Amino acid sequence: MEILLEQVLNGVAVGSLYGLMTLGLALVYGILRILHIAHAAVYTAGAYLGLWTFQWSGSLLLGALVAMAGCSAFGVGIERLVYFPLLRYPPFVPLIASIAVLLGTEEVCRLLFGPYILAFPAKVPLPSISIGNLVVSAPLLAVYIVTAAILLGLWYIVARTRLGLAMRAVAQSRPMADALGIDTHRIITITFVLGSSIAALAGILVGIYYNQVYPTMGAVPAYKTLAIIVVGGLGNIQGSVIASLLVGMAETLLIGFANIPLPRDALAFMAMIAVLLWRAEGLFRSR
Amino acid sequence: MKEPLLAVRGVSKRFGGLKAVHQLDMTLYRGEILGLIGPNGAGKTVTFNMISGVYPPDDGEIALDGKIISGLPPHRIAALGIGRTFQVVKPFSELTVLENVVAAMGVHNYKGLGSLAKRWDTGENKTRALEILEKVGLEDMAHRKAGLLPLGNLRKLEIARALCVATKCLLLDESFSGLRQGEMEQLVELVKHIRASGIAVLLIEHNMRVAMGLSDRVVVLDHGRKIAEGTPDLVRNDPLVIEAYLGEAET
Amino acid sequence: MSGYLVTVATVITIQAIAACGLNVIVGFAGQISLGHAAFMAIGAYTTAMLCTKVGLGFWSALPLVVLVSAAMGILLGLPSLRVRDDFLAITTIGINFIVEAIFLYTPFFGGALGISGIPRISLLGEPLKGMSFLGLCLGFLALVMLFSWWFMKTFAGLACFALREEETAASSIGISPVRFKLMAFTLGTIMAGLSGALYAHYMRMINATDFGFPHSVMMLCIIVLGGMGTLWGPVLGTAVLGSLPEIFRPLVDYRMLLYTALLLFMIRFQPGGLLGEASVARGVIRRLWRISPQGVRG
Repeated sequence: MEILLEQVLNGVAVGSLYGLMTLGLALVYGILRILHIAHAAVYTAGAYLGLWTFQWSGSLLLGALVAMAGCSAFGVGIERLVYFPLLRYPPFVPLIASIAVLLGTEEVCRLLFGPYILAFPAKVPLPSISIGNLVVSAPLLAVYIVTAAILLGLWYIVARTRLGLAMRAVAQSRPMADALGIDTHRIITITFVLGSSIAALAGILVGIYYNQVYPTMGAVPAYKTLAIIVVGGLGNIQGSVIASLLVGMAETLLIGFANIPLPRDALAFMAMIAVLLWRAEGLFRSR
Repeated sequence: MKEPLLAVRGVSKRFGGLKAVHQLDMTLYRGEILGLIGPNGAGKTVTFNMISGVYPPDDGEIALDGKIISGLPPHRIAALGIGRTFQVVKPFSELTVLENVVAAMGVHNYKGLGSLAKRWDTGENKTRALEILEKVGLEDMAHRKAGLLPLGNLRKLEIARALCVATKCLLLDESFSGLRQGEMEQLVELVKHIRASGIAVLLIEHNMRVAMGLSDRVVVLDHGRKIAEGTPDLVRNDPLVIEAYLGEAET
Repeated sequence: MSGYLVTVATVITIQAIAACGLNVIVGFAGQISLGHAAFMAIGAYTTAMLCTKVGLGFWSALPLVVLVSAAMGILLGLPSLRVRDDFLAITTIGINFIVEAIFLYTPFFGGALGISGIPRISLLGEPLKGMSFLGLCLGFLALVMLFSWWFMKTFAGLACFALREEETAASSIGISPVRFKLMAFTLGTIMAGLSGALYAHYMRMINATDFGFPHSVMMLCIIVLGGMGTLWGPVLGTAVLGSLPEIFRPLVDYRMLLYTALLLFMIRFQPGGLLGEASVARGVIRRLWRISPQGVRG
């Protein structure tokens, strides 16, 4: 029973981490209709920036802030220099460019920091909680708290602020939003800042939780999160979060209990194809 | 003499909560030009889309020569002899004007397997395509890339393409909009010519003068329902019709 | 011709065959496939299994390779092609991962070790290697290109072009979108399977990781850069992108970075491809030969 609970807690953590990554992806897709595979590059850069800052400053908080700032700049840079000029071409052109950015970032990280797996030995300033025989470690708690905080914050912004209203307007129809006097390009920039900051935090959290930072850490999440946002309904924020949790749980529980010889990564895609065969738009309607 | 060709019976279509077309009954007879008019949002294009198979009606049925066609996909309906143009022109931009027409000429090749292997670039095909282009006045542009043409010519291309397919009837969706005066007159002559060759024409048109002047009969839609039907003269003076349009003018 | 050059030429030729297949899917019919490598894997594993486990020769296995590639193309293509553009990209990525995982984790297919001991191809009793094998590959490439050239001239090819340009208008002139998308997809997967089979007999051992997602990405890049929908585009693209890693080899460590930087640069500034309509190269060729722009290009 305890093993099951432990696996459930792990599953929720894994799902939360996926959720953080897919949030940025869903936000960008909703607003630009581009599959932002390079988001994983931002995530990887976040992990490295966080680690590097932590290494010379000793402060995890500073690491997080520097990573968020750096990744925001990175994300906006990608949007301005890569996506914006390519919007008028068929969708796979920005897609290829996005993949090139991901591969390039992996290489840069490899050349700067080495191809080895680096440890992220930061002490999370949280207690670990024991419930009977069950231990919720500090990193696990951090994942829950940060994810909850981000989801809450994002919900508040999107649902309750004028900024959120503008974001939703641009996502629905850019020409309409333009006509209403909304500075759409500013909104797009803000979306990238938000998404990239979240990705940076996700990278740091993953680095601490698994105690691993390496150049290709973004490769698998890059494609898996694509499958997840399809399951959740492209561009639908809530859908992405729920789908992330479902996939995270499924992966953890199925690997832990069932003896399926396929790797975790293929599972997300199989789930996606299964969902697509059932409903051609994903579990939830896309915005 | 009046043989029904296309019968729309009790057809309705909903989008979400909105009823776009409600219990529509209308008939297109052989050899006539039927105008489908009405204020914006009356359901005209939705009706066209149901006839040409873009989406099926929720209720009712559509029959061509007595055979039910509602629910069939667009490519099957095309093969049955219904050709259409689109309100927003849809040229095959990277292909030349000639190639656009030859593509439409292949409407019966696309059904089979062996016919698919036939070459499209034969002299015979090109000659026939040029003949069709001459009918709409585009023969000089035959080797231009379609994407480069101005709107007026693109509308002609749409009609040329639809003509290859429309062996029974032709659906014209706002084909006169955006045309210059001279082009409009040419097109009116062409449509009369098409009627003379035995093909029935169903047209949606915003330009009242063209619609009333060209059509043998007119069906008026408002908010998805048919509110009047008859010859242009009859309909012109129908108080319901006047009110529908005045209502639009007021808002 | 030096042994090294023959090797590079052979690899490029085999790759070009698959690229021609992807060109039919993406260039002719306007569909996106980011899982093309999976079908190379299917071809490779089919011939590998038939030759090592059943004892068939390449020529006897070939019809089965074509059959299996076609069947899998139809099977996997049918659900994928019914969905919208964005979904199609992701679905084909998924196909790549799932196929790779199945080959990698199923003991029947050799698992992580793959399949080795694949025999050479024999022609008239002589095993082919080096130049003669290159000749065979070139022969297959010529065959595939001839087919593409012929296909462009048939109504089937015209239907695909129309579909690529404007799906709604195409269906209004009798073209069934699903039918022709599937046709193009299957033709593409057959060519990919053929390419994979040649690869298997060339390398004599295969592993599922040879056909991973990065491979599919590179093939898409190849045909985009070479000019989609053209006859020579895939060959040109493969030749350029295939030889670049070799050219960059002296730079060893920075090779991959330069490669991706170049890719990014090319796609950013010449997305129409090296041979595409608006490309610099085409403009030069046009001026040199005074060729007027054609619609359906060759």
